[in-house]
Amino acid sequence: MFDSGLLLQGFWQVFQPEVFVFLMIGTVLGIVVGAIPGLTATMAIALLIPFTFQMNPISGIVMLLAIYASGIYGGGIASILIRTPGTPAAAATVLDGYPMAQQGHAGRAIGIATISSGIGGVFSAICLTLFAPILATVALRFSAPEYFALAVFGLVVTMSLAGDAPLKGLAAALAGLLVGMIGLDPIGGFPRFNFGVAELTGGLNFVAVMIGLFSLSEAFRQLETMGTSMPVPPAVRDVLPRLWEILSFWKVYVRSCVFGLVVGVTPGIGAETSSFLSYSETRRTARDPSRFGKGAPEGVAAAQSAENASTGGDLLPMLTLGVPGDAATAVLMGALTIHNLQPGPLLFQDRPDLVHQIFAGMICANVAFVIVGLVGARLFASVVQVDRRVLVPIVCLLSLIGAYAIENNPMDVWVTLIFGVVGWLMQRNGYPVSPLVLAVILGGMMESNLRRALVMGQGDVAMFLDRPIALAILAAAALTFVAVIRRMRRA
Amino acid sequence: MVARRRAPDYAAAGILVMLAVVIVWESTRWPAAAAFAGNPTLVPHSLAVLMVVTAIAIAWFAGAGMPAERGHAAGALLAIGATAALAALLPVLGVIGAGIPYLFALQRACGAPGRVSAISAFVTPIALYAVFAKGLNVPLPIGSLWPMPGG
Repeated sequence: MFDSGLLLQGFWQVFQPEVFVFLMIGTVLGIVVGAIPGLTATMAIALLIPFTFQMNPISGIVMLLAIYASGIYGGGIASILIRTPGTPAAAATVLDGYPMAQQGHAGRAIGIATISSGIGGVFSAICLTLFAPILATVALRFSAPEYFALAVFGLVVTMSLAGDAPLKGLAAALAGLLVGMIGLDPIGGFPRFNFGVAELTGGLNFVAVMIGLFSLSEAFRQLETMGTSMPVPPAVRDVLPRLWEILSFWKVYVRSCVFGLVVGVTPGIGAETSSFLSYSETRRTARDPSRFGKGAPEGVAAAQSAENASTGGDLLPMLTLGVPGDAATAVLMGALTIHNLQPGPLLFQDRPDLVHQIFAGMICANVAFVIVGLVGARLFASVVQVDRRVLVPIVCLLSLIGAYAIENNPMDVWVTLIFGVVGWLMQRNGYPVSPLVLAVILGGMMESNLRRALVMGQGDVAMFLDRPIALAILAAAALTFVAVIRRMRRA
Repeated sequence: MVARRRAPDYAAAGILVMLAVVIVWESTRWPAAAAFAGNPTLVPHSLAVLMVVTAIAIAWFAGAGMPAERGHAAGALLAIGATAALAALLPVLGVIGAGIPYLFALQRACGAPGRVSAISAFVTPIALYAVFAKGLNVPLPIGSLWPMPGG
């Protein structure tokens, strides 16, 4: 359960110099990466996992959490200044942020975006702190059938990551299931799908796969459009917003925080959905909706607070159930496992100290980007103009070096390169890569738990009928599947 | 135009069918199951069936949905070739020896100014080596071509 004493100890730990310095490094890196169009927080987390190998676990995890939270916020800077979302989540910020900048209020828009993101982020981190231990306590009663059902539910929801083309999401997820099967059979222990290659007997290195799919493939995508130059951003002045203005948005914040949290907890949909939902609702309920799209500060506040409010919700199922809800949390889950920390209810039982340090780290990360973002606004504004012709090749080099550093294995370098090419080809043809990554994680969980469940039931599939929670989750998966298919038919 | 939009979906369907065949072929070499509950082919065979069904559906609806944004593939293909060369040369030339020419060549090919490319290509691999090998104590390849320090 939630323990305020452990949380205070967690804050104490985060403020130790060896952790705090990485919190600040992560915050600055996250804002910079988020502000550069084309680079995402997920990419930055995947790229920087190898840097955390030799750190103590909490330093590395806090740094990655800071990149996650501040990367989501940083996307809004490019949206406001050059009308190009730094990250997909910041697309709704363009609608009113850019018109504000065009009217000479770029600094004010960035200030409102920073404070709003901070409010949403801190709210969701507090909710994570309060609700995660409760969910973990419930999940302690789960057994193989429930975990199998959860994995099936997660896999069905990953189809929705493909937007209006869920078939493509399904194809990517099926490919991911096969990738996850390479290695040893989870029950029998014999090698499978290694095709006689000894290095494949232990399976593919998950981090190498993620670096390939999220970093290298994105770098290849950027190299396709290298000719386009970034527009010059307007001057950034008077960043600190007035207190009365922020207080006047209280209704917007309440609505956005709730939207963000609910959307975040729902697997498969993330910050971009919550920001658009919150923006539309704020516009619909406004006294004068015609102001929206022409530089309404509430529009910026609604979009930014909702996108950061989804971060804590995204982390909730990953930490408590071991089921990542989106690509960024899948990568974070990979980072945790590298430090021998297996997300799930047992983590709360075995390492409550570390779990509360993660909560404290998440709260601090959301406060840190507000301070750093306001102080360094002018500096971060200039980052949107960084020369991608220099930066993207460095990302390619860093991807390969990072892959090598995982286990000093040249094989991992080739795995990263192959998945970089696969990811590039998939994205180029409208096939999303996130379902593939989620399926690699969920596939192992699904297969091993299905087979354990069947052993428990002595081969009788009807045993699921005696497990109400598993049955309810499977029913939810079936309903989700039907909804996705109906959406596809409409599209 | 429509045929061009359908081609990737037909290719994806073909790959899925091929993967399904590989799964079934590979599973014939696994130990025989003692019982249904312990059957190691249960999930892989279900996956193969799903792959074939999905492949048929993808081929049926080929070209549906919004086309993906595309740029010029030449830039990406150049980078893929250069990165493959880097992967092959890393154990031989090491991070610094292979990284400097790789970065310089790729940055110049992308159109970056010569002086900026030269400085960045020289500094970045050395900095990365210093951070990983010295700062984080993670050994990186120094290259088998060069004599070992003290060796």
